This record gives sequence, structure tokens and C-alpha cells, in this order.
Amino acid sequence: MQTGKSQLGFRLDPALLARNFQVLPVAGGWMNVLDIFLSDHIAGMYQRRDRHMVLLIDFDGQEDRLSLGKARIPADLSERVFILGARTTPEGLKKELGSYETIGSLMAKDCREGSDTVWRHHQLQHNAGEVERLRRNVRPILFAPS
Amino acid sequence: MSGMVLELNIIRCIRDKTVLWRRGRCFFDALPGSKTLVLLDGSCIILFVIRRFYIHNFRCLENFELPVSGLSSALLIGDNGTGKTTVGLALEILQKIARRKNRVGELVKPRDFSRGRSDVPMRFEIEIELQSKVYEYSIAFELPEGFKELRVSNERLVVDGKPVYTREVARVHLAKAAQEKEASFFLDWHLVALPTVQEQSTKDPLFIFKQCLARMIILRPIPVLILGDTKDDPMLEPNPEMTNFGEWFSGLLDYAPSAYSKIDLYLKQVMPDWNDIKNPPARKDYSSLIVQFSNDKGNATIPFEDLSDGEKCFMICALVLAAIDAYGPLLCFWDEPDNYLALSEIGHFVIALRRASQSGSQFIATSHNPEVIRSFSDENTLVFHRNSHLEPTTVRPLSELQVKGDLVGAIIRGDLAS
Repeated sequence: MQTGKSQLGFRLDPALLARNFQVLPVAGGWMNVLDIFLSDHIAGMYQRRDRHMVLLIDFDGQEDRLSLGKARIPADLSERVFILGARTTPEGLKKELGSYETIGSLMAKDCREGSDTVWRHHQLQHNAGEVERLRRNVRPILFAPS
Repeated sequence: MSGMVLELNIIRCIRDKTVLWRRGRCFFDALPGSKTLVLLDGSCIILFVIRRFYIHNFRCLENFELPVSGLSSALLIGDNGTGKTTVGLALEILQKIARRKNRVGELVKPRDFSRGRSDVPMRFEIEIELQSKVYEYSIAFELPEGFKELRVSNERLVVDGKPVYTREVARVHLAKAAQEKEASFFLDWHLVALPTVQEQSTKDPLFIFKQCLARMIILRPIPVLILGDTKDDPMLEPNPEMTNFGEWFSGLLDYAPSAYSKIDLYLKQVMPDWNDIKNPPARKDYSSLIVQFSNDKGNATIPFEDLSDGEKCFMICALVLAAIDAYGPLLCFWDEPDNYLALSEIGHFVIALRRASQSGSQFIATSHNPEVIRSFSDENTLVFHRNSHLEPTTVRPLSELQVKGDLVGAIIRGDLAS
């Protein structure tokens, strides 16, 4: 439940184009995230060519979840789907960085400024490849050019 | 990482001193109990935050304290009848006093005593931090044997620890001010003293405190009653039902004409074909708002009263955002802001209000709606609970309840309060 709360801090960033960002209900478990994506969202993504999706999961120490997840995403959608999450569980992040809203707001700042203050954290650094893709493809959607 | 640690250290150093702001960064929620809002770009901002709100013997609230200190926004959740709306009603009593309604009988009734317990005073205490000063106001009402209307038992206003006035029943004592001697006078015990005690100037803390209470925005809108007519003078004191929307709209634009750009910006986002709003005279003694929509196919002009309930709520939200910008910081208490809104809009709506409040204001919402609940964290969600109608309300931050799994599921199962 808590991993997703960092999205709140992200959404509270004053520079965010908030209406370009929608948060869906918690799916409960990384397999459920993928199952729901495949059953509910594929058609919408073909229909809306500008739609991007971030699947937020807990890796629970198993980094192969990224490749396992990506293998289930249709190849022609893979450019618009991103899988992110904490290496084990997000509680350690909270202990070191502050509340989930604080973590989310720091992530928004990283996204806006191209920095990696949060993403360098050992719980998050394995996301580097996905974060780089996100910056390239999604940042212009979320933040107006300064 | 080092950049962030440095920022947090700066915040800790300055948390009780100057309030700083850097556009785009807010650490307010991260610092529960902090005296200051810390955003960093070198400029000072004004802060309005309730540090303490205590209610005793008022309806279901007994020895009740609302834990919102240090929160720029908070959500009150809990079953029906647990007292969420009652908190808003208690704030409204203080707001009415500040809006010059001083007859006790128009503020509280004998039936407002918790379970009819009229032998114990009903008490309201509020502690507000505003412009680096701490204002403490308390008032207690009692119902002596044979009385039909409650009277003031005691009342006082203290600013930064120094009394402005104290009162015991009918006797009001004014403390010594800079150039004034202390003084006492008698006041009808059925009248509240706060509206009566005169301030020296607009810089007088008494004036500032009254104005901040009077300008609190407490909302329980009833869209069908919002007609958009302006019959009375423009003002900055909307009522909870928002039946004086037209007067507030006019008052806001009179006060700060630039507020229109904020209203326009928000409404264009939620209604892409929004064009503008006008307030032409409808008859001799009042004007009536009309709204214009347009797209590449043409225009449509609609009287305000014919907007949908949800669209009227968008208009209210636009005014709240513009008000925070124009004459904030201020407190906004919105009872069930999700009412009348499309599911896809609820999250955006609440986040817009939360974002606006980060710059020194405070936003408190009540709700049962999953989308609203998902728009707050464990740290700023307060769970109201009441065992039965014979027992008082208790409140705890959600973070103390250690809910595992899906919160909305736990609420539906009734597992939250156990």
C-alpha cells in the first residue's frame, strides 16, 4: 500500500502539469500489477498513442522482476511502459529520506531538474535504465519547459 | 543524496526562525510540529496553521483535540456519526464570532451539549500561528439552572503569551497595551466579547486574529442553492453552503482583480471549452453571473444557476485557489469535497487544493471517497472513531494504526477502528 504513496509527493510538486498524470488504485502484489496491466490497459494504450504507464512494484530483492515484467509487455508498447520500484521494500527509504510524500516530492524535483538525488539511493539505483527512459519520454509531458 | 541531506539540515537550522521558500520545494508535511513552513528560495512567506484546536462538551466531541499541527493538509475519515462534520461546525462557531455574530443564542444551543450534559461548560480553544505570532483564543459557555440561553462563562485572547483580554462571565478585563492603560468593563453575558473589543488599527494583533478567523473558508456547498446572484455587497466571507457565491466572486475581484487570471487558469484546465464569466446587472438591485463556453464550433452562454452541480464545485474550487493566492494564507475546511464530482476529477480536485495549501495555508477535508482517501498519506489522514452514540469521538493519525494492505478495503470491512 505504502509504495504508491510517494506518488502524492510527486503530484504535489507545484511545477507538475497535474492533469497529465492520473493515479490508479493499488493492485496489490507485483504479479497483480502486471496482470491488471495486461487485462485492463492494453486496449487503452493502443487507442491512446500518447498514453504512458508506470508500473510501480516492490522488487522484494528479486531484480529479475524487471526482465520478467518486461517480457510480458507487448513489444510495440514497451517504449511507453516503465517498471519502477524499491529494491526490497520501501520502508528503508522512508527511514532515510523522510515520509513517502517527501520522497515523492524529491523524485519530482529530480525529474524536473535532471538530478538523481533520490535515484542514487541503494534501494532505487537499480531503476537507472528505466528512469533514463522516463526522463527522455515523459518529462516533457509532466513538466512545462522552463 | 548529499544535496538533499544538506537541504534538510538547513531546514532544521531555521525551522523556528525565518520562513524561507524555494519555488517548487515544500518540506512542511515532513516536519510535524514545526513552527514554520520551509520552502527555500530566499523569500519569506506568511504562515497560517492551526497548532491546536480543542473542543469539549460539544455534541459528540468531549475533551477532543484535533491533531493537525504541522500539517499543511489533512483528511478526516471515519464512519458516519463519528464527528468529522462536527469539527467543521465547531470551527464555524469561531468563524461566526469573528464575523461579528456575538449573540450566544445564535452560536450554540442547549441541545449542543454532549448528551444534554448542561452542568459542564462547553469549551472551544484554538491556537493559531499567523505571521510569526501565536494566537490563543478560548471561550466557554454554560447554562445555569433556569436559563434558556447559554451564557459566556469565560473567554480570553492571548498573543505570544501576553493576554489581550480576559473575561469571567460579564466582567471583561483589557490588558495594558503599548499606549493604553488596562481597563475593565461589563458586558451582557449573552454576548461574546471578541467582536466587541475594538482594535486600534489593521496592524493590531486583535484585528489580524479576527480577520483570519473571519476569512476561514468552511464549505459544505449545496449546488442547487447556488444561483450566482449578487444581491448584497461584495465580501470575502463566503458561507458554508456557498449561497453567497456571487458576493464572494465580486469581493474577491474587487480585492484583487488579478485573481481572475487564477480562476481562469484553473477553469480552463478542468473545462477546456471554458471561456469567461460575467456579472451583468439582472435587475435594478442585483446582478447575476453568466458563464460562456466556446470551441471551434461556436459559443454557449449559460446562466450560472444552470451549471451542473459538479461544475459549480469547480467554480468554488477556482475561487478557493484564487483566494489563497489573493488574501491567504487561510484555512479551508471542506466537508466531502468529492460530492458531485466525476470519479476522474476527484483526485485532481483534492490535489489542487493540497498543492495550493503548501504555500502557508491549511486545507482540511472530510471524506468517505476512495479517491480522496488515496490523495492523502498515513501521516496526514486522521481516523475518527466512536464506539456508540453514548460515547465520545476519538481521533488517531492513520500512521498509528498500522493498517496492513489496502486501506480502502480495511475501511469497507470495518477493520479500521478495531
